[in-house]
Amino acid sequence: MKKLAVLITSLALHFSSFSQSSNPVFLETENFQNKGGWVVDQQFMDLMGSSYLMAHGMGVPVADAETTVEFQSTGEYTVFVRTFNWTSPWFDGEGPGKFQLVVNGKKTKQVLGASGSEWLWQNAGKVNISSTKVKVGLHDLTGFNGRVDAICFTKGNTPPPNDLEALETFRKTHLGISMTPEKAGHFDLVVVGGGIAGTTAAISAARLGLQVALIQDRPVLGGNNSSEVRVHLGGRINVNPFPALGDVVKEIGPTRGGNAQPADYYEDEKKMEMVLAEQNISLFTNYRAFAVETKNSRITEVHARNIENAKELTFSAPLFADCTGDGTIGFLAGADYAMGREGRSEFEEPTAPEIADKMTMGSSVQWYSVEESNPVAFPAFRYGVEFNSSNSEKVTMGEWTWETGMNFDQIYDFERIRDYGLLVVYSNWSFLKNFSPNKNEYTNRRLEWVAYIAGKRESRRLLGDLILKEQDITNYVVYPDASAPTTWTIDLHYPAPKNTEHFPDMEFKSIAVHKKIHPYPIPYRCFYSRNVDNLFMAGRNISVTHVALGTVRVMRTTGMMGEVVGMAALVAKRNNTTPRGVYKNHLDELKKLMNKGVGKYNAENMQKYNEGSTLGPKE
Amino acid sequence: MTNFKKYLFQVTATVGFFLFVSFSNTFPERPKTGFWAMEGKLITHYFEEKTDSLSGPELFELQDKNGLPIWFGRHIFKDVCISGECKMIRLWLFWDGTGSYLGMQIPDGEPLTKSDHTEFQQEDYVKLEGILRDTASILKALKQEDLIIVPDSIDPYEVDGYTAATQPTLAEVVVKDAVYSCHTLWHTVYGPVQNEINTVLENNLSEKFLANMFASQNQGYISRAIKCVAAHPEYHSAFYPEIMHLVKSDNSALANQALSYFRPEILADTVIQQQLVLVMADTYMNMKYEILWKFIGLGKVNEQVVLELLNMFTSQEMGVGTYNLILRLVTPEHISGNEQIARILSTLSQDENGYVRNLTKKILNKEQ
Ligand SMILES: Cc1cc2nc3c(=O)[nH]c(=O)nc-3n(C[C@H](O)[C@H](O)[C@H](O)COP(=O)(O)OP(=O)(O)OC[C@H]3O[C@@H](n4cnc5c(N)ncnc54)[C@H](O)[C@@H]3O)c2cc1C
Repeated sequence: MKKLAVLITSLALHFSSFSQSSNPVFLETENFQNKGGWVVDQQFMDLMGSSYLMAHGMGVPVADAETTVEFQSTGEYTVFVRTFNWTSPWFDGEGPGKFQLVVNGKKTKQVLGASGSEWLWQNAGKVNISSTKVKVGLHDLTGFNGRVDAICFTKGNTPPPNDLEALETFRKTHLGISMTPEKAGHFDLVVVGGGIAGTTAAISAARLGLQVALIQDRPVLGGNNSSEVRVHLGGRINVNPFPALGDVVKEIGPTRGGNAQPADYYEDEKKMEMVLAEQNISLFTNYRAFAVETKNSRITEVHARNIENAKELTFSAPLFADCTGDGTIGFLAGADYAMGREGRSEFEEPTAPEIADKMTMGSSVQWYSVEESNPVAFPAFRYGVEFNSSNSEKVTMGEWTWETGMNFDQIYDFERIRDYGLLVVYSNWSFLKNFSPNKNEYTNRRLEWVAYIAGKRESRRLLGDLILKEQDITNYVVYPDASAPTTWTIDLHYPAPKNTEHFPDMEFKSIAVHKKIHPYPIPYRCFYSRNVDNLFMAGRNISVTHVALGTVRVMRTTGMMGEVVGMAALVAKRNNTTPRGVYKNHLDELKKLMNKGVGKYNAENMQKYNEGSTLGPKE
Repeated sequence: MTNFKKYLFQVTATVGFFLFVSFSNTFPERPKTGFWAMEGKLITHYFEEKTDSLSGPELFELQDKNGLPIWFGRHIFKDVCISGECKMIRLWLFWDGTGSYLGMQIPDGEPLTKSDHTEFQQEDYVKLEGILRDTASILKALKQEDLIIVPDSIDPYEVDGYTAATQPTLAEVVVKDAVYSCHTLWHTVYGPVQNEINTVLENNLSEKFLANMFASQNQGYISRAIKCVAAHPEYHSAFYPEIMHLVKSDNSALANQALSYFRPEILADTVIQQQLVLVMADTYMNMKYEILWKFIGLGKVNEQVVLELLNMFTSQEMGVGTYNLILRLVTPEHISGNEQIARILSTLSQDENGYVRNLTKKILNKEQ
């Protein structure tokens, strides 16, 4: 009976046409059958409860999204839409993200998306439903990131709850989603996050014979190196003391460099197919991990939700790897973590500030424009951040230096940080196109790409048995568990002084301050949690200080961390031990594997771009 | 040797020609050494430059026996003014046969001087030389009046007039106490004379001239020749094979420039596509990838190109990293219209390498 219920639920979700059993009728927009030009944004699920649809048209209205819904009864319904005005933090008036609801081909009068300063149910008026099969659509009016979480048709007058917990129950009840998630299976290793670190961790473990689940909350792999964020790989691979490390990075890495370049530079298909070629990997794209079960300081299960149909799965394993970048799995499991800058006294780091603070490196909304053969218009866009001749950026693209949110919380303020990134790109572009004395130079230019998945550099750093600090690297203190080498400079970002002059506390441009290092092998103890016994980590959320993150965060390096974590998982499994047990009792086994590497295809090394400068090998 | 003479020697040495000759016609300030001691045929071009009338109306060109320019030279006699107070500077400036700055020659007994009237030392000349070679110098964007914030009388090393974090400060760029001279000379090197040289070169353009440029073994000339052919499509058919050949050059800058000559309009010619794909066999790995990306940028390529690329892949001339890129070029028409392509793909869809197998299956399924 239970099985049957699950089957019915998944069938209903699969066809993504909601069969609503009773009033009210509840729709998750991300599950619309036809998304038109709207995109699914899952980045802030943990903050506002769900992924949502967004009209990311870069100033050009996107095509309507549409779905068909079964109503149980006809009659008059009040419609509530969960949305808000994303420019409200900077501008008091109507926002730009305007859209309308379309019911059976008829647009409702209300223009939505222009008001409200937080995610809220807004009354979109009343509609008359005359037949039980209803087409519901979203009609974008501006192309400026209007967003809709969910829609609720009710015969009463009360909107659904907005409190996240109550809303969660409401969603599940009205979408017919089981309160107990389905089991995805039992694995040897569950890797969460399919950036470069997670992808290499999964490949490495799988090639060594482990059954691996790789959970990634986007349709593509690569994280910041995917065509969704467009950051090129940095750092060196195949260097001492373990020259075989980096062989997987070499196989999955794009063959040409450049930030904010056309999508095909990032070779998404290569990363995807390299993973799919591994029979031992079960890949779960479009699943975002949001909860864990723990027992005696071990994680027993990770729960993940599909970002489109809200289906939930649980993954169990003796070992987990947190490659989310945000240290989300560790955080959920109660792992110790740090965020922000340590004060100098904490680790005596010369580069640390005197007093600890919350500052992190920022996130980037990268973008570029192209030259067309005819003039291209761009709407006037003024929502609280004024650009003029002296403060505007006279450029045709924006890459890593477009960085924002250093003084905000990169977890809890992340939607606002991303939105500010969008706001400044549009506002500056609008000035260049419409008001600048040099506007003639921009007449034929068209915004071709603006990221809506923001690239993040720093948030939580999960703490391991060793916290790597600046002097370990600069004084070349090599530990017995030396592993993947970090080669990039200690590269820390700060708000650009000129930008601060024009936009105090609202900077969106950064500068980088570099300190050169010798290639330095990161101790393996930075790759597992000190208090969650079966949790590995690879990527920017490893156990380092803020200063040390300056070098280790680049993606060829995080990719090699992933390779090492995959190897350590094998050693842990083989010896039925924990990540710490590998360090304490089986380091030689790990070293053997690091010497050998897990390359499979003898790929040519096309990773010679953006290697960064080093002080050369340390004798 | 005095500092100054040592410096002169260094500059001359960079030119690489050391054959001595004398000229019959004498010019008052024309030295007998350095650039002026080189062998060749001297040609005088005349041009009027109002802002520079004291320098004289001549632009000299020294040509080699094939008619290629060895250098262009001009006597410069100009005033450098600071807050209304002016001093004259006199020297010879030289450009190479592509119009790039080549060097300078200072008349005996007339060294350049600074705002405090001291003479330039050798390190100052070296610095000036570096400034003048820098085509993208910070001085480019600055007008004379902009320099007022770093007057020579104030130590420019202490005054940071340009605090933009990404730009080098002016102080780091200029010769100490000679900011106006640096500015004047930079704008002289990259000013009307350079335009005039380009005009002369443009007027000299002919098939023979281009052939000599390509045959010169001089990277600068060859590079300019490629640019000229790109700007003058009438020479395309005569010279594109030459340029295609250069794609195989060991000199990666030249090879890349040669490849970039093959713009999409040119590569639309399927014969050229096929020639280019054959060149790949003789290129280094990086260039193979560059060519592959070039084809990808084109969007659609001839079936022979696809076939050749697949053959190179199966014979392991191209590694696994290229396979997804090659498949980007395969269209349904290639598969249905070319048996060999279909056969190779069918074999690859059974490959023991799971990555290759999956990618191939996907493309075959997509094409059905
Ligand atoms: C603009 C910019 C420029 C940069 N420049 C460079 C550079 O030139 N070279 C370089 O190498 N590095 C560069 N970096 C740094 C580098 O991109 C980051 O440090 C990167 O985060 C490291 O890779 P990662 O695998 O740890 O994380 P990410 O690339 O962030 O990957 C994490 C992945 O996990 C997914 N995920 C997150 N949470 C969950 C969840 N709960 N469930 C499922 N999946 C989840 C994310 O969607 C993402 O795909 C730059 C960063 C930025 C933003």
